Amino acid sequence: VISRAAYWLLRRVLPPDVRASVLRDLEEMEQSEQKRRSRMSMYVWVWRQATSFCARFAVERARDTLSRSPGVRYQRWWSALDVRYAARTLARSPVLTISAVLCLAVGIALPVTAFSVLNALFLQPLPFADGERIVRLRDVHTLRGYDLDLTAAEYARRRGRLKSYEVLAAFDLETVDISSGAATAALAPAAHVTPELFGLAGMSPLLGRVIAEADVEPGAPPVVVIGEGLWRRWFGGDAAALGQTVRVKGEARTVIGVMPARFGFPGDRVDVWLPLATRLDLAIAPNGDLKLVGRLRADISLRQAESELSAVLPTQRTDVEDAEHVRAQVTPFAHGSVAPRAAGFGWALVAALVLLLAIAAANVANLLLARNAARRGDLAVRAALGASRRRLMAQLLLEALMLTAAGAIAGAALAQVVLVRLRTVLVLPAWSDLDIDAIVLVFVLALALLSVLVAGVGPAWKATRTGSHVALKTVGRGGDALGFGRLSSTLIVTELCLSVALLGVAAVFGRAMLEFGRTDVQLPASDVFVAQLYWGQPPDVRAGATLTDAARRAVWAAHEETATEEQMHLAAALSSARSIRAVTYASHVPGMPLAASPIELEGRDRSLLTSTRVARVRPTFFDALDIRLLAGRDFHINETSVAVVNASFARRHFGGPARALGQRLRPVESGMEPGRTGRWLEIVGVVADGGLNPGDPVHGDGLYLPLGAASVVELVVRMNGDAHAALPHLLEAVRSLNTDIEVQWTTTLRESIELPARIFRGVAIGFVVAGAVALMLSMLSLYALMSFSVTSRAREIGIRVAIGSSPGSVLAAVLGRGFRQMLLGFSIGAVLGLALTRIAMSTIPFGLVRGGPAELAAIALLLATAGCAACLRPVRRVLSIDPIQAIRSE
Amino acid sequence: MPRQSLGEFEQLVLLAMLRIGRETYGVPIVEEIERQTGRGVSRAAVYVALRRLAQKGLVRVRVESSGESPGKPRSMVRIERDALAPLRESRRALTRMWSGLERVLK
Repeated sequence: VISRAAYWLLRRVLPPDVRASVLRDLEEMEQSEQKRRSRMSMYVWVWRQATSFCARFAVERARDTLSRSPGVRYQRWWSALDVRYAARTLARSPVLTISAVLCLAVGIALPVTAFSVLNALFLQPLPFADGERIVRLRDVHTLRGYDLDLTAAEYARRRGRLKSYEVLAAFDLETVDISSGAATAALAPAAHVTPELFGLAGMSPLLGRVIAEADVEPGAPPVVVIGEGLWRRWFGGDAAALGQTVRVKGEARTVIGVMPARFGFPGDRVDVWLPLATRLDLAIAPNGDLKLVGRLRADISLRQAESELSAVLPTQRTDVEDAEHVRAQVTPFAHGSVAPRAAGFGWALVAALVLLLAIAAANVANLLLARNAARRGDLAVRAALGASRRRLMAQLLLEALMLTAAGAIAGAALAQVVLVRLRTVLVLPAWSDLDIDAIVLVFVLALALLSVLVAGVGPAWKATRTGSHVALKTVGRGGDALGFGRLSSTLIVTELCLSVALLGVAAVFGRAMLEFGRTDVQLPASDVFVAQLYWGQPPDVRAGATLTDAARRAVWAAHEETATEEQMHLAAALSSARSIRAVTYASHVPGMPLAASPIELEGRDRSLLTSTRVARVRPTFFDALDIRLLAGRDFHINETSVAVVNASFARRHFGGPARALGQRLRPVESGMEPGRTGRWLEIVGVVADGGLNPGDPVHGDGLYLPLGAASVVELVVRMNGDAHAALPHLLEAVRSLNTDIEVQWTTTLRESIELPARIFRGVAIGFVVAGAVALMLSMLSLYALMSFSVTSRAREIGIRVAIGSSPGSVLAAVLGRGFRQMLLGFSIGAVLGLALTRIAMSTIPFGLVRGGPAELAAIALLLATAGCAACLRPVRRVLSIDPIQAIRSE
Repeated sequence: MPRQSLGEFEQLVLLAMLRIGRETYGVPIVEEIERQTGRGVSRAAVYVALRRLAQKGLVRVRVESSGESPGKPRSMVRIERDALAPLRESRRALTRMWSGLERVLK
């Protein structure tokens, strides 16, 4: 056995060419040794030989492999690649180099920018200890598409039963008004948190301490932790802030700590943290809207946690309709702040932009193809002198690699510039970094690799495919040695057709967006302050009472009545201030997005339902916003079965304001059969268009209904002068009325109206950028293709000149062919583009189909100029050649 | 063909083969070197050297047809004519290096 093992080892290690003979001879030697040695020393001898052979042949093999290894081979390869030669080649055609680099830079910058945003939102874990294990525990209503919040009682119940978490905390987000001494009151995003939350995040305060168990005990002194931003603004970054008193929602609280600006947890940018007592006997969860967050134990997966949470969900839910659609979900916290659908759109956008890069790279490939075709004499000579095909390809690939590397660097730099801008526009969570980090760099590398593959491999393969003898023969001759000339006409026509069509759509869309965003509504925008007020959930619901459907509806109705009464008191309190001219309420203020809803007009065919925008307002709304009454009257208080329409609506359906009065209409409630819904509402007034759909000159029509009892309303305050001055008045009035009223956000009418305009302008810019990239790409490839097709006809042109053609007629012949190709491409493209524009416009809700032909003509003109330039340069070069030279190769 | 340089051990193997004077195989070569130099030789080293010499084309390897000798067929090696030139070359080099040193080394 012992010697057999030695032979087994030898068989594994010895190279096959000597294996048999070595084994044969060793057996012979072993036999002769056996005569002289004892059995023990024989084993030693066999194993000494085996190890000796193994060691020596292993060394031998290592030497062999080393001399033949890929590393050494590629090192030789690399030294064979001439970087300086490649650089010289690129420098010799600066137009090509610059356009290719520019093309790739823009192509790479776009997906990198989009990817960075997604990276910041979805890929980066929370920057806390074990941030990737911090999760949101959610009860998702899959039918309604929102999360259900928990009551304090439910939180206490779950805390006892959930075992998958190291730490479990509850929080609620709210906008609070906060003031300090003489400083003016301000609204700040706040979080009511259980003490565990700070331990969960594991981030220590900049100053002082965080909320502790003692702070949520009954009778504990009221405290607050503030964010770095607030601390610097109010206390100038002074450590003496600790122990100071600030008023939060009117209540005096002592500042005990300051959290770093990067914290912002568990909202997006929380600036105020308040202790949240969740003990059942306290049950003071504001609004009854608790949310759960936890740090998973290291050995628990999301799936396990989710099934545990499913088991803990209440079986008999009475707090929500269609309770069977409630599902447990455990999601990484970092992803929680953005809807999953947004993530889907985001990734789709990145994929589309990568595709755009692929197209850009394909255009660069076209350029290189044309350039390589012009260089095929050079390549043929190198091949004839002994350069292998692999070596020629490597040289060409090196050039592509250099172009791509430059493109990638420029692209990443461009993306960084855009990201710096985006950082001020996008409101990202405080903890996320919108930056080019390691993951983004890997993405950049992957894109660069894709670009090299698309832009480099094809042309290099094609340019080196033909044998050197064939290539040498065709040097300087026309024709299609690369099988490219034949394709060029088709390529030119197709490329033009697609560019014109796509560019046309982009231009028309871009213009439509710009026009759509233009605001021409005559409103006292600067004087009007808007705030959204929220009365929270009814007290019974907050306390977690079990209610039947009917009881819940009754509780809500009573709650809304109370809220409406308080709205009246609030309006009265505010109106007493001298700077305030009028106070009113509405469900919607101009500029806020408002979807059209279907309505039915009396006496009209029911199948011809019309849809329009419907806002609900209180009687003084039109006065407060200076919306002129054109006919009839305003609403009366507590009126229900009436409607006021705007001028556009009256014109569109009745032919004028006066004729609209007395007509009847009714909203069609979703899910109900037309004609079976609601009472008819009589039109009692017609007002001027008041920005129900600002900026849309086509769909400005809309109507107003009386606003009934509501627990969420937009407060509209018309000031004498600056709108922002209303905020302190509002906060003071709310504080003295009912501190449970949450001022969710505030804005001015100007901001509200300009927001959609800004968004549309952003989208328009997106279209224009995409269009510009596409235009650049098509001009580049048009240039390349034209230039190539003319260069490849050098011999034909030479013969024409030799047999007496004048330069003018040659020019006409060459340009004539180019123009025919362009004309064909343009006409097909224009038809396609107009059709596409029609289809695209009909799919979007606003119908601003204007323009089209003008944009298409402009694009065609631009491309034609590029095409002419592309033809002219090579033609001039060819014409300058001595005809004898051009045809000498014959 | 570029000139082959020979390692010391390769020289020993080639010289042993010349001394044997006919087609031979590993075992006799090992024995011949041991007999002439009077010291033990690593058998593995001999086979490695033979393989290298074969790769350089100085030695031709032939596998015995069955029945030529008892047991499994052996790999027989024969020195190539090409091997003589490098051998002569190294002898010349060594002789020149030795000449005139007799007194020093006596």
